Amino acid sequence: MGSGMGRVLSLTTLFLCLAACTSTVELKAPLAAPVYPEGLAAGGRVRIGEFEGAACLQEHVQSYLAGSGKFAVEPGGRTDDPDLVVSGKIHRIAVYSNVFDKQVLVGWYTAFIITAPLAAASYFGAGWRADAVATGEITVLDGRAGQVVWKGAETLVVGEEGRSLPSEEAITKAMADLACRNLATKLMNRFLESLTKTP
Amino acid sequence: MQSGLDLRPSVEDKDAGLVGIAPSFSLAQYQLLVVEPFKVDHLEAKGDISPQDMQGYLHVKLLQRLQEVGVFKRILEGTASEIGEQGGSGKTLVLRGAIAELDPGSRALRYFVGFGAGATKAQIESQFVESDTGRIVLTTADRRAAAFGVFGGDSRQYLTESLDEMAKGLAEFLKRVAKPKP
Repeated sequence: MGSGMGRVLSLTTLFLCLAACTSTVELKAPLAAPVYPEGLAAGGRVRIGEFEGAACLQEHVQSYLAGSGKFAVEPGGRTDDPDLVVSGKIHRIAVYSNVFDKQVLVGWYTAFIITAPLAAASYFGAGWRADAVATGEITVLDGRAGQVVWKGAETLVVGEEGRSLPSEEAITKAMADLACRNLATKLMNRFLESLTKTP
Repeated sequence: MQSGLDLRPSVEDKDAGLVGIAPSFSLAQYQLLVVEPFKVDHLEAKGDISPQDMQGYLHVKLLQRLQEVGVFKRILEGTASEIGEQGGSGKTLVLRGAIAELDPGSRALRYFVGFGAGATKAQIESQFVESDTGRIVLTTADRRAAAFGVFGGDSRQYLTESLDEMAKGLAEFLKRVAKPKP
């Protein structure tokens, strides 16, 4: 009896999600802004070195440096004589959300004709929340001497809430990318700030 | 009002829980606020509730909410010693504190028993310290519990919601304090 009910609930939720859960989600949580310090001298040629963990850190670091207009960025190995080599590591990216609760709630109410109005109310009214945690580090080496010029590590959290009904996969993807992008920006902001302080 | 030495949060406030304000305190004289990460060393992880994650979440929300109310000309994150010379002219205020309690409660109790059983609880204690004198000029203590939600509600999301509400409450309180009195 219980498992039959569970199957009905799961199938209804699955059907509803296929029909109603959106595969994209628009986040309101702020993107960390790149801060390119005034008077930042041209940094020369940068080789994007080895990045461990999720690929997003490398992508965001590369676009951050390219956006500064001060560095000539070449992806790994293509610059023979780089001034700097940037490498990094993502230790952890985790996304938590309660959107599944909303999906089950809407699915549950949709299972019975008498509760259909509640399903509609839940669909539009019930909220969800999500948060993502990213921990990572970036190391910048002198391209010629091979010495560490700068190293920084950071843990960063982003939070989001909404009233739409996105799929769990869409939230996970969007939140993980936002956390990773903000982590890259924050670490690179710190690196550029350190460059302006170095005599 | 109490003296800065034994300043305790003892006056109820509609937004910030309990507050204590030093005599002759005026927010207008501070140009810069430095927000330090709240301490969580004394807390232990419970399930998927990591104190470090919650510390990071509260830090982000404090920065966001304080920027929204626009009480301070500049808000920086870090520690007062790290910020140092970036302060420029004008006095600097440092916001530091601790997440005093972080209890995920029990989803099963919230769902099957209700009436507040199994509620999540979060408490923060904050101090605003004058950077140059080290004097505590403002102190607050706030606490939120959450017990009602879909199928008992997700503990982690209840706690993040509580932390966000407390960050918002603190920012709203500062906005009121900053308003010139008629």
